[in-house]
Amino acid sequence: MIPDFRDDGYLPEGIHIVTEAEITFRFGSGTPRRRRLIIRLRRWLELSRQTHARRFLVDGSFVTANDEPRDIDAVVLLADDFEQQVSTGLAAALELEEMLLTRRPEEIFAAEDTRDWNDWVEFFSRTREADGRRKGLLEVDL
Amino acid sequence: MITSAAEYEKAEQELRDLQQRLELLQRSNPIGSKGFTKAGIRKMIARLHEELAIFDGSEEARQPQLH
Repeated sequence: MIPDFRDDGYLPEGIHIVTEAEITFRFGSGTPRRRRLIIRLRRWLELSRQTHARRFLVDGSFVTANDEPRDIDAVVLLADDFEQQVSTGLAAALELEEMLLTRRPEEIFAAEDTRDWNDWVEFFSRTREADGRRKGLLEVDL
Repeated sequence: MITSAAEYEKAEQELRDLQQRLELLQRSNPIGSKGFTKAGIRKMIARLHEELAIFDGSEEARQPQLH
């Protein structure tokens, strides 16, 4: 279950495990901007599942109380054989590969092992608030 | 989007940390290894450079600092 926002509009610190349905219901409606962003996210999730990705993290102003979020950031922990899937020409792997290697889109990032994943979690848990407070992130259960 | 000098400093710190992380990765993983992770870090570095540049050229950046 997704916790309530803190008073500052962020989720409580930590990783909150959610389903695609929960994130869609809570964050993907309400404004046209949110509906546009959820379509993008659902495509990334689809590609991640098709390539047997291990974990999927969601951040950005999309998961804040902001009605008009600017962006939605995501990190995908790739399957061990992802490079092989690309080499064999699996369509989902090729599409995801292009997203990960280029700036189109500029909001999805790869992790190839647990250390990379933890580094991204550390990075995205930061805020730019003066007191250095940290925020919560969502992990979609693939 | 950066909207204040304080956020600008935080973004600069994020940039330094990412550059350090990329250097470490490059040292421990030769060309052709961990390419997807390196690409992501580079992508975020580029994004931060862009955010910093936009603020540098903005009206807010030209305002006198209060601290």
